[in-house]
Amino acid sequence: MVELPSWLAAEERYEPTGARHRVMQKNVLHLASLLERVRLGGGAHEGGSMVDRALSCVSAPVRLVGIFVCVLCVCLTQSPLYLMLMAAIALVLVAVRPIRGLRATFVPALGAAGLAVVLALPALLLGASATGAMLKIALKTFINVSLVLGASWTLTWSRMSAALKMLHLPDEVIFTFDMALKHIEVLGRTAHDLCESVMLRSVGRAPEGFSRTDSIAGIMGMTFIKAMKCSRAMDEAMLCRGFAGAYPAPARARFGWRDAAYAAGVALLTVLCAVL
Amino acid sequence: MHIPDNYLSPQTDAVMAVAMVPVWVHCIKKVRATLDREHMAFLGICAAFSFLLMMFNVPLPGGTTGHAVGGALIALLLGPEAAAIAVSVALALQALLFGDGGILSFGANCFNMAFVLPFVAAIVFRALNGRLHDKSWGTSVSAIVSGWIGLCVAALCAAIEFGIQPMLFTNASGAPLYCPFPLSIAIPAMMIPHMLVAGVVEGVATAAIYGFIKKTAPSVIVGPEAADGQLAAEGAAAKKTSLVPTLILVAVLVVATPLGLLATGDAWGEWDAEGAATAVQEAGDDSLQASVGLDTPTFADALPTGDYLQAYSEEQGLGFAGQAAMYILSGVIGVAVLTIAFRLISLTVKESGAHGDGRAA
Repeated sequence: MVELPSWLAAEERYEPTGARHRVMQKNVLHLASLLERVRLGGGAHEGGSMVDRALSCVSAPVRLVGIFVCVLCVCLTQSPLYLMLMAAIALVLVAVRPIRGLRATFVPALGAAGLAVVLALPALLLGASATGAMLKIALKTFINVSLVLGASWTLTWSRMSAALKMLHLPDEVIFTFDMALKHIEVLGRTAHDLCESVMLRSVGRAPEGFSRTDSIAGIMGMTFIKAMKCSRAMDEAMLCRGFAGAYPAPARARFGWRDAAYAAGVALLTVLCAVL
Repeated sequence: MHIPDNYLSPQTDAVMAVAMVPVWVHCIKKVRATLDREHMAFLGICAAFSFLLMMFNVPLPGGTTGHAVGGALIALLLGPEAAAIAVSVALALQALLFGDGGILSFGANCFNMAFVLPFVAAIVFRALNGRLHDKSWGTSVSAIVSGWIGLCVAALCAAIEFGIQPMLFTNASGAPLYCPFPLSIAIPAMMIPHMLVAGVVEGVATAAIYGFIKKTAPSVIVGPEAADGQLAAEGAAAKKTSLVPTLILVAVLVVATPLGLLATGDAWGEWDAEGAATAVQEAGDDSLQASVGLDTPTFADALPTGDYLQAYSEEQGLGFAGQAAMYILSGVIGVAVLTIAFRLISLTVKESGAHGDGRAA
């Protein structure tokens, strides 16, 4: 019969201490949602609604210009009718999306509208009688954010980068955009993993001297070091492949009937904005 | 039947709202326990349906208008508790977004249309269908009668709420502060048109749409008929369920909403202060006095989207086509908002239901 060593036979009473991990858990969840959102770029390809799939077929530069025009129209209009029309379009686009798309577009848009209301509240409390204007700003925010998020839901990041080049944006801007998107995911994942490992390491022993600030500073510091390593590795990879930061202009796609239909829809909305 | 603000006293509004709280709590608990995610999403379609049906005004005898509610239909499809939630949400949207029905009187409107109507309809349907379901016309007749009785009883409740106001709330000179019509006028004025037209519309719409859904998507029905085991379970399971026809029906209703504009005149009890004074004069009863509290500003008066954008279209001098476009736009927004709301709510509900045995009714 094998005797257990004394250290293994000793009785241990594990009593987890209070809510020391709450801040870590919050960070982990926040990072996870951020990563999910970045990964959802062009999520419509993996199961969007019929309307989303149709919008995905429109070329990316036309979409970007169309969204810009729509956002501009919503910002400029003073007509409640036009706002209602745009709200109806935005709501219908959101309503027919699958749950993932609904979460990715509607919830942040609603949050942005709520924030707009909160920002305008002090003015109301100080006596400004502009409830209508406040609601209008919130509605405009909701429409614009849901339209822009809808574009990112139906366009992959790579198509978006290509579209920016076709719209003659400087290479530096596109490069920064591209790298930022890519590294948000890479570094976000690093920070997420670090948060999880810190939580796992401190299970059952959250010492008295445990400092949330130190832990988070450590995670941020490690993430920063990782970012530096990443940038060095990328610089070396760029050199190896002869990429000097200049994006080749993609062959100009033909302006198809889908693009024409989309452009006609945007033109109609622009005319309505001017007329109403 | 949408009671606007100022027609009921704040005391009445408060009592009705408090009365609705346990109903809402019970209904939410019941729905969470019995409906799965798919049925919750369908409940959103039903709420949108109810919203649209309430936009279809029909001309009633006496120059007023009325409308079906759809509460009986939802009660038959998903149970009265689910119907109470769907109609309450539709009423909230109408009040907040389009000024149809008051904010203060929201509890009273919910009591009449979201509680009385579906629960009465479900009880009547259960009682009738229990005896008639083996006949080919049994379910249709039960649905028609349940819809008709449900709406008439809801109208009776609204009439009583109107009618008790001049008995309870008057100023020092005896002039009514809120609704000026006593029970002797309110009950016949509400009941006769609802019994003759609006109730019939509710009953026929209930039977027709219930029959349609029973044919096209039988598995979504978890209401009284399914709970009593009268739904042909094998047939329902074998038949492929498709919500596409239902969605097409909703789209058709959205496009057809301007038909509701053809009925001119206000619904009884939904006038503005001037209209109410005219109604008092036209009643031909010298003992009646015009109300002194109806011209207090309300939330609906300040709403730019009030009355389904009809106030805006009148201000802009738009013709029938313009008004119809406004009406359709309102319908689209209402349906989209309700669909989104119920799909988000369905995220909090379990994936597949326990409704297999325990039904909503």
